[in-house]
Amino acid sequence: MGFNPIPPLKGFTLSEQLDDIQLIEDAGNGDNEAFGILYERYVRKIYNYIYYRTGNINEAEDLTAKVFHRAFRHIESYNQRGVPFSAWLYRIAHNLVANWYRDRSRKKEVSLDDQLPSSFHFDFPESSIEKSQESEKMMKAIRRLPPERQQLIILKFVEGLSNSEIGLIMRKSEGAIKSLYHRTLETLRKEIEKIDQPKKVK
Amino acid sequence: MNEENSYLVMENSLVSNLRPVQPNPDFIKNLGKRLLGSNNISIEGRNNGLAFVLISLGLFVGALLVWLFRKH
Repeated sequence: MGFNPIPPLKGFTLSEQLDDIQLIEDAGNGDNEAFGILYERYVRKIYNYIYYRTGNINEAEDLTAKVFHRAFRHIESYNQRGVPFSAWLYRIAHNLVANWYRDRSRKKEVSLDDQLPSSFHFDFPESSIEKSQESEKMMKAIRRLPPERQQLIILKFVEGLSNSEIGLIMRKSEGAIKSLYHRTLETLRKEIEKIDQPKKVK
Repeated sequence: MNEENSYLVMENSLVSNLRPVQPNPDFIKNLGKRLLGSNNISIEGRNNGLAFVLISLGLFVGALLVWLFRKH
């Protein structure tokens, strides 16, 4: 009878996974404290992801709350095989953000593009007008990308995830993420050029 | 080479512009309290069972009443 170790998922440490697995099991058995630890561990990451997807603090808070309420209700149905807990949470967040966009487009409210400069605030110690204009331009360009590419950029740069970790969340191979990333950079460059163009014409 | 350079500039710009933000600590605290103060996860399943029993009971009583009316 040999010991059969659990192979760590690529991009996630074994201790992190084992820790999560035990906590998830306890939370599934009604241990609220265990869920509390998971909540503390991931709430800021999920908030950041939603904040950068929506560009609005109130929506980020509202949707983050929904993610964790949903996770709390359905933790028993979470199956750790193949998908880390954090990836499961990001998927819930992604679906809720997609629903939020759908609802917004139905209501025909002010476009996010127009709302961005006032919604996003960046706290640069060395802050200058030039720097904040660059940030706004960058965020405007990101907002023009398809949702899947926005997700990739946010997971990579805000959350600091590797291609393999992003692949698990987006249900794609590491290679597919790498290729999507390069195409995204190219599109982003073109979008920034488009934003710059009207200024140059003047 | 030029293209690679422009990617590098873009990546640097993304690194400096997309910084993690700190959510309002009150929001984090209150949400945690609301979550952990809410009812246990297994209650949803129990309610389904109870609903099934109540519906079955209702159907049975309904059928019994119909049968009694027809009999008289």
